[in-house]
Amino acid sequence: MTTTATTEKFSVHRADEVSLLRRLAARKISMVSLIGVGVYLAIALVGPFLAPFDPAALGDDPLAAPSGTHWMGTDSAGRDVFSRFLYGSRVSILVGFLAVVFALVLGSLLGMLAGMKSGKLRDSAIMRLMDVILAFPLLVLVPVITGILGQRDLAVGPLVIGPVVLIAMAIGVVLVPVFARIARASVLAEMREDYVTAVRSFGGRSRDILLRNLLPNIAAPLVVQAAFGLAMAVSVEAAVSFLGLGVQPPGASWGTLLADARQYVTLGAWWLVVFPSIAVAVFVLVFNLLGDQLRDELDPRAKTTTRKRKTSREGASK
Amino acid sequence: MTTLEADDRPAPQDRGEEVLRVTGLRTTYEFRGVPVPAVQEFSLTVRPGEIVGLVGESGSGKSTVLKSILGMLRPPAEVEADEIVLAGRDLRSLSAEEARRVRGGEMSMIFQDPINSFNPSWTIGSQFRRMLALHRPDLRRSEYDDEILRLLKEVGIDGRGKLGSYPFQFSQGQLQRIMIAVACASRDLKVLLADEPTTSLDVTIEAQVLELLRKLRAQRDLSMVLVTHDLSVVAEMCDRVVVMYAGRVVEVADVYDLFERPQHPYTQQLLKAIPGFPHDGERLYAMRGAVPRLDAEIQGCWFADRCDSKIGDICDTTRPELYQAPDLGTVAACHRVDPAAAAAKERSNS
Amino acid sequence: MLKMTAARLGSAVPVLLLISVVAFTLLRLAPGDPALLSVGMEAPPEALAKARADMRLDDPMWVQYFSWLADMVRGDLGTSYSDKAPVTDAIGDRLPITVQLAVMALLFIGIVGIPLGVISALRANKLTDQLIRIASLGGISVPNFVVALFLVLIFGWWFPGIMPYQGFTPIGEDVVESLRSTLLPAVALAAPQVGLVARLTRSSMLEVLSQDYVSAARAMGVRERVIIWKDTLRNALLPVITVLGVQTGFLLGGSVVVETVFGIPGLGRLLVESFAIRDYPVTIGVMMFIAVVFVFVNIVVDLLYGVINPRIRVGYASGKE
Repeated sequence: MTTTATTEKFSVHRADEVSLLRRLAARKISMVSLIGVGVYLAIALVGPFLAPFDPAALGDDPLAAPSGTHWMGTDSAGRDVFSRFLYGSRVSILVGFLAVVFALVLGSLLGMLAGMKSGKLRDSAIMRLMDVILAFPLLVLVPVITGILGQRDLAVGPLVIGPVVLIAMAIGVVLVPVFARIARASVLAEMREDYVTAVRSFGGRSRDILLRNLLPNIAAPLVVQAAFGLAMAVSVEAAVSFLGLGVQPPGASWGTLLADARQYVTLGAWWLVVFPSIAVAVFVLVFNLLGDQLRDELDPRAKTTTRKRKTSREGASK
Repeated sequence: MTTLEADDRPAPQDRGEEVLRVTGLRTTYEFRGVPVPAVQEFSLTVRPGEIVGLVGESGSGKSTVLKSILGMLRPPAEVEADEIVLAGRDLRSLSAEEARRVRGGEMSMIFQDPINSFNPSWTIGSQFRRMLALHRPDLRRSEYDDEILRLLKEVGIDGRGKLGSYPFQFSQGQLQRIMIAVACASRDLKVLLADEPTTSLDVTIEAQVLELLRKLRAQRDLSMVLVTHDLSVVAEMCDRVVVMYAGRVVEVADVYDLFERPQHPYTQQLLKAIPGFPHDGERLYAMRGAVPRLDAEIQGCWFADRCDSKIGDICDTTRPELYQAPDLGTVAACHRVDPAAAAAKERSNS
Repeated sequence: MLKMTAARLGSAVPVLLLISVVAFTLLRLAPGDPALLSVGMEAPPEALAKARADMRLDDPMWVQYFSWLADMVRGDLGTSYSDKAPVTDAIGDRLPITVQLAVMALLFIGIVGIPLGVISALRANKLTDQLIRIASLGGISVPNFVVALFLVLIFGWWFPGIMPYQGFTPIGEDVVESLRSTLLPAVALAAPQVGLVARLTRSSMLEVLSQDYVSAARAMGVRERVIIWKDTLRNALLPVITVLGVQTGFLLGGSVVVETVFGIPGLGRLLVESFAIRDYPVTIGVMMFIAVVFVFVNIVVDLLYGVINPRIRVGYASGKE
């Protein structure tokens, strides 16, 4: 990295982002997680087109073990598990993605609003509400929210919000506190930085500071958290659908595939359990790894805390 | 700036045998799986009652030297040495258990940051008692608290009623005094290693702590190795000085010679960088460049890149050894000091 | 200590109130007319009106909220739509089972997770450390219901007869059999958290090991074993304890899936069953109960933290004098 000492803060960040992918690829673990992310993205995008069977078509060979025709076997209704898996993967990943976008936007907005007025009523009201969301058991909060929101048809303008989007929003709600806390903490840390004081001393307004200066600088920890959040959102979707309270049959997702599998586990239908399980576990692992690596690479706070501690000790000499 | 008067110092040279002798010390850390030498070819001798200063920039390996001598480093850090002799015993030949008894017994250490030198969850009394339990077999358990109060009084602290207090309830200066009292609790103590003991203290407290260290030296005939990057502390405290650069010794000199006739260009540049010393009125000197990476492959002199007084190619091609300076007790790792190299340069010029 | 407890309890009041507001809102937004459900579909309109009046459903919302809140404070969490029994009775029946499960899981987390983290830190960057770190990350990544399904597959199909994998034996009937019946569920519940605790213990240990006071203890000649177990571990466990406390809350929530897989009739199962038949008073009552427990567990953890950390304990005492 060649940035001169006079380069201002923001361009340093931008330079970081340009080479971020290349720097991630330089590490072995990051490479593995990037490949994983790519595979999942590919499955979500083109998976359904590769399905050899209609995922809803009932077959005459129920609970067949994996074979040349049915790569992942068949379920109790004789449906091809591989085809259902490909369709289900798209739903699971989509739900996870939408949930994180929803939580990221709402959470960082609330967190920034709270952080800008730390100690004031607005701050404590927002953060206590976040505490409350965290206190409820999330696996039930999600279906309760969808149950209540889903009573009438929800629509945003001409767009009717379907059940999948509804589940994603409910999962998003329970993820909001995580992002809000991080955004608030980052804002509090940034507000103490000299450049914010500088903008203020020039008569800058707090809203402008927030949008133009704070957001770029607190983005890194939020991006890191988004990777972890995606892992969490997908496993929450799987759990809720597994309980029969999420994606409804005959629709498929990793969770509903596992819910179908449940009764047949003790009959030895291992293929019903193994493939969706691996899909969920590897997805969570890949995004946890990615989050770890991203944090190492671009979370300035994780890095500067150690650096600052060191320099303050050295600098205390006089 | 303290004025230097060579004659008001004791002359420890005359008292014979050194109490601590380290030669060929080499300490390697591991960074991301790659070994990085933090200290190389380091040697040091300390005579009874002598205070030796260890000077250098941050990261020059001063603290590592102290920890290596005391045997405090754990793998993956690796310490090698030709000898580390304390009062006639080579510490490297000791078993782990014997070496442990030396620490805090015959040789102690105090640290830069007194608040962090104490375990935050334990009372001062309990941390002091454990030192006595380790190194004062002459005492019975019931006598511990009296002895602690006596030791604290020696460092100017009235400990009555305070043994049940926690570290955060004391000031930085008080804590450093307590730490000194703890470190000097053993009767067999011969050498005290002090790692920037006053760096985190403010100036008046710093003077008091330095005064305390001098008093201990006089009373108990302690030897000390004082790590610092503050040359005024060196001038005030030390008899002899070892200057380090990038993990190596560049100059060893009596304190008077060091300030009056520094031999190594690094030492000279260090002195020029002190405000008001010794050329008042001139613009303050700022050393250019930065310390080379410790794992850099450097053929010649490690300081060549930043040196103001290179004498030629030899500086970039041949590593200087420690040469005896003419007419002085000083040794310095610079080709200019080496009579052979200087003569060769004469010849090529003529 | 007393002052600290009082202060901490006082600070929980707004959160508790907010929990009640959210719960009440969810309850009122939930589909289903409580009066209609109580008198039945075929009841005459007069009976329905009377029921509405009795249940004070015609009062303004805020009046309803406060009378509902007053009931809550008295320990009346409402009445189930389905069997007309008090919600508290249902909780009373199911809670001990979930507590048994959660305590076992918590023990498992502590007994396995903390030593793994300590070993990992002491062997930092060695092979043992790498293996533990990979295993922890793997453990965190596998959701607990996946672990549960695999345990059922293993002990229900591949090696049947070794461990019970379905149903629950009450502790009053047979203590050993009861503990056996919750063992696999506890393992499934604990598995992801074990990895988390191991990772946290590792980083916390490394942080403390690099502190000056550990060096100072070494410089004093304290035995290495004592340094690790006495000087380091106690301070390193402070953040771990906080996380374990928070996890107690998650264990209550996480038991929802695990209880479903293993057929354990605990609180989590009650939540799922009641929601499946849209018995909202039970669902929301239990959710609120778990939320309140969560808040109180966190208070207890904070206070415990204070007991261990003299800075907070003594600071509170001397700061207020």
